[in-house]
Amino acid sequence: MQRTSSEATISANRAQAFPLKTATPESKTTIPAPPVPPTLQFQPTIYTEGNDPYPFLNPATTTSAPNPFVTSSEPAPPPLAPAQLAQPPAAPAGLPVAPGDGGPLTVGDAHFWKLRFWQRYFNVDTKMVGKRLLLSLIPITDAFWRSLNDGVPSSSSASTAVVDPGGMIFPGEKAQPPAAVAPTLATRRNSDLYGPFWIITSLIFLMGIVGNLASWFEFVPTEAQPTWRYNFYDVTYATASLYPFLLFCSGGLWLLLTFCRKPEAPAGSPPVTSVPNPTGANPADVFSAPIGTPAPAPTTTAPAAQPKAGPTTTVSLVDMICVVGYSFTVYLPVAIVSILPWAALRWVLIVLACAMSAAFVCRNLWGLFMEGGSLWRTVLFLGLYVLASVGISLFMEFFFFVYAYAH
Amino acid sequence: MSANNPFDDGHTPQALVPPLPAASVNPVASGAPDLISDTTGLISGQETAAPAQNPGQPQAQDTLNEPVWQTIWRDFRRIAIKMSFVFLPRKSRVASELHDWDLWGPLVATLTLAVILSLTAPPSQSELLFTAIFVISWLGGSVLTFNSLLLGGKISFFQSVSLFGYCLFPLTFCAFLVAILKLVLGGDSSLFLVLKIIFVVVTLGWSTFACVPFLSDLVPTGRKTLALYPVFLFFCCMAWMVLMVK
Repeated sequence: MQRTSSEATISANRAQAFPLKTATPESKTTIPAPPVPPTLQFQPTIYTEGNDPYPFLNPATTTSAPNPFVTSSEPAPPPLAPAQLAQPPAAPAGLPVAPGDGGPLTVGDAHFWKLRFWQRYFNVDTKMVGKRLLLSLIPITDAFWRSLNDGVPSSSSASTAVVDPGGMIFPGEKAQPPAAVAPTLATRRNSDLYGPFWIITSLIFLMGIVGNLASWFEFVPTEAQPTWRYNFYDVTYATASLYPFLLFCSGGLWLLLTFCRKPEAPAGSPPVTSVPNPTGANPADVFSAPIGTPAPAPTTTAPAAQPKAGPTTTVSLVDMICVVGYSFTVYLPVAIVSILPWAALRWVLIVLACAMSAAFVCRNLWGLFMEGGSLWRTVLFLGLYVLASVGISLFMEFFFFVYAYAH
Repeated sequence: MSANNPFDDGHTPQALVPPLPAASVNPVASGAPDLISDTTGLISGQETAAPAQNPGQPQAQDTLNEPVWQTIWRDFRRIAIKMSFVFLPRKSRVASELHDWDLWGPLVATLTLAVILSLTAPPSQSELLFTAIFVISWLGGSVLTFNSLLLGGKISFFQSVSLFGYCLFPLTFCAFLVAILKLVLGGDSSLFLVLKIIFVVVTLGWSTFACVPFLSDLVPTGRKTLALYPVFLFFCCMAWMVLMVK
């Protein structure tokens, strides 16, 4: 693509994306964009349906095709404007991402093998992680679930920076994203994967230490084993149990929340769970499922006795990984205290930790399951998670705290 | 190009090779450029203008024509210099010196650590221990680098892996000291145990703080603790291995 024509296309896209700014340049909030240093300038390759070499790899360019996942009877959304079809290239890795900036959240802007795709799940700073860690120790409120909205730019407040479809940040610009991207930008949670990953990793490391220290404290030389030996396989067991537990449990919760929350709608009315996919997002992309997308309002002609509206909140898999991962924070102090060589204390602590962890997950997800679901379903699904949680606690107790004691 | 690519720090082979004095490059008297010995990629005509810079010193050899031991010695000296910056961390020097990354230093550090620990371990565990230390140190360095990159750090990949490898040198030194202490004091004495714990704790702090000036420059403000905690966990893991091997 010629350089000049590319630049012309970009400026045209910007004019399309920010019509207010170009229409009223004397507006008070308008701050002229600082001159971009030449090293930061880039020439994005703009894929449209005509020139995209890999149309099946770029979800953003295939939105005009009929989407097989949408079961709604409503017409498919109009194809996105070329401004949204632009593929922003990966930003420089060192580009400082403002904590309030969720990054460009369109589905097609980065693929999962790119660093930029995962950077949005590490968009936290020390304060936010500290707050979430503290809240994850409190199982009686769902403040943790609400804290997942920290760091998401709200559509009402004037944000300090906005990322345009070309991927450039203009400081001081008022957040006025294109209409098709707006629901995603405004309502996506800022769930992080930093916390879950490093909490689980710390727990694995601690269990490798604690199990061995406990056995060392209580080692009695026998003829068969005259000297104590370090057991390196503890870490292997912990790794092979905790990471899969995190993945399978959060995946199961996500599946239940996505597919098993059916409204009790009267027969004949259209299913209200089907959202007409306003962002053009591929529903199979579980990582960036937009949340908070309002379901179509109940029609006025519906009978007043219609029991419930459908679930109004969709969740992504990362939200579930975040909740389940942070619920393991309780086990970290428990693992440290479990070095003390009293078996009764260990039992009390592990029961306490299991109760707190399961209660934390249930309390934070209760509202989501109740929304559009029935009470017995909620109790059943969360009861399943409690069972799994008890299972992993017992496994940890026997394999790391008591099993070593038995030797 | 380099701004978009986290794997590229602008580090080119030219930075490794010192600019050659004019007198050395021109064994061919004619004006034709000697393409074989012109390893710097500079055009030979450029060097005719510069006078010989160090007439007192022996003429610098071409890197292709010099003896092998000289090449090895130069690289070895380079590793030693960088190692000294890890042992005596100074903010300005560490950043500038580790910009020219290499993976020989980390290889030496991890291999030495793994060999020392697997020699002192009981025979049934020595193979497992060697594998574990080697894999954990390289995989851990990569994971730490990805963690910093995901947090928005401005780090080149191999530069960071190289840094974490060089920061293992205090722990390697500690393992060496502990092995000597075990020979001197015997493995069962309580004095040996106390000294071992003290050594390991001190070198753990040393390794971690050697990383601090480097990481805090490159990770965005407000996320330094998030980048530093996994580093601490990584060194804790290695220190635990040094501590636990009998």
